[in-house]
Amino acid sequence: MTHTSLPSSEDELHREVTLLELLDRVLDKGVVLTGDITISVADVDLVYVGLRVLLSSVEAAQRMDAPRQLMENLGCSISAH
Amino acid sequence: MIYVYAVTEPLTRPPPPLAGMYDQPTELLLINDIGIAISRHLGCIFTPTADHVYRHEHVVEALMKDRAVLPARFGTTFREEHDIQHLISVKTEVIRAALESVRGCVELGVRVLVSSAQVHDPPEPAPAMNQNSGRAWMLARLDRERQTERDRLVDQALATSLHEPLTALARDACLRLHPDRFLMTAAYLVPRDRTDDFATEVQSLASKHPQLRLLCTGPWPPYNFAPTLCDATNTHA
Amino acid sequence: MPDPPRLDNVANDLFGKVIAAPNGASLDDFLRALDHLNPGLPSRVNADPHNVEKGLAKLVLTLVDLLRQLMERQAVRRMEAGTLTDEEVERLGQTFMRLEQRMEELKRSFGLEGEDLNLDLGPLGKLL
Repeated sequence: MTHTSLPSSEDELHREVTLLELLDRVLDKGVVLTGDITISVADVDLVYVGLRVLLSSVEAAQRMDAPRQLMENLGCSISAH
Repeated sequence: MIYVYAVTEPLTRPPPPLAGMYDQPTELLLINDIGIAISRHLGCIFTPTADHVYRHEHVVEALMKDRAVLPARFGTTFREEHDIQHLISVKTEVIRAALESVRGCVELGVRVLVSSAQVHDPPEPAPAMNQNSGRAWMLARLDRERQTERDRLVDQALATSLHEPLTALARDACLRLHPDRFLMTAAYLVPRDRTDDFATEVQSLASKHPQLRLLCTGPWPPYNFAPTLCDATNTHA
Repeated sequence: MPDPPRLDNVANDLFGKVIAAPNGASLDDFLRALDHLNPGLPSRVNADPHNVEKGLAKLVLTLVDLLRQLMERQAVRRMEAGTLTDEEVERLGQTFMRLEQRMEELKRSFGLEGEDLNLDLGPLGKLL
């Protein structure tokens, strides 16, 4: 199918949506074969990739009720003042 | 350096010749009757630009035309063939099972493009509080927490009303709820011969719930239904 | 021998995969929410050292804020469960009020006042 006229803005929008959905899949999903993902990105994005591990740690901590222990420590330090 | 596009099956016929990243030819490494689609490079950098990402996807989709495919994440590289060979031979059974589970299917994605906040009434303004009372603060905070919980249950019910009829048309499904952003993101593994039914059901749900602003995209390779074959905590950039 | 597939043979499949979509305004929101994924847009390239510093500050403050909110939630649940004394409730409330204010002060000193510190991890959703 070829377009002889300029693409409508809805076409462009859908094309952008397609690209973003593709990026979402291709950057974060798919078979994880290796720990070495060779992606060249800017500074803040490097942190983003590394935070994946932090996120699982946070979720695990919440399940283990770690905040309660933190809070108990907080309670201790309040009583010390 | 070896760039990996997908884990697939060799079949009796080789895949068509395909131009991969940086126009390098793609080839199929054969390990235990599993085919790894790769291309070879010398010290290339794989930036996720639109062009590179389209090229990666082009290879994956071309393979998908006639065989079961587990698409790899963008930027998956190995230094040597030996490294891949070892991993694949250790995970052969997992891979075979995963290939079977996606055979004949495509992935369809559904998102609800409104946030939880947009779905719910705005919270009542907090009554003026005694600034010196810690107790008053805690009670107000408890109120907020309870409201959040009530909202969450409504969100879940909404998501379920969409997810259930779509899951019924799929072989597998995965759902993510984001209270803060888009209410729901879901992926469905749908047999190719049911994709029309699926699209019809999505249109029907979209007209039933126009305020939820459904976005449906596809067909995609099964990115959301591919297994993790290595220890993810090794990831570093 | 089949012809080698050219990119434009699958062009429609690669570029246009929208099956159903709401009107333009909601799509704009979607594009903006995920635009950090797109390397082509200027917002993603941030080599200015001042911005890198600010980005780090934002990250640190977000993590501190995460802990603060986790602790608030736990405390409030314990109050609901009735396992806190009145004195503890009062003390915790005072502490959290002060922490809230302190957080705002810290944000101000880094030029992040009014900003939503909820770290957007893109496809992973928000941290909080």
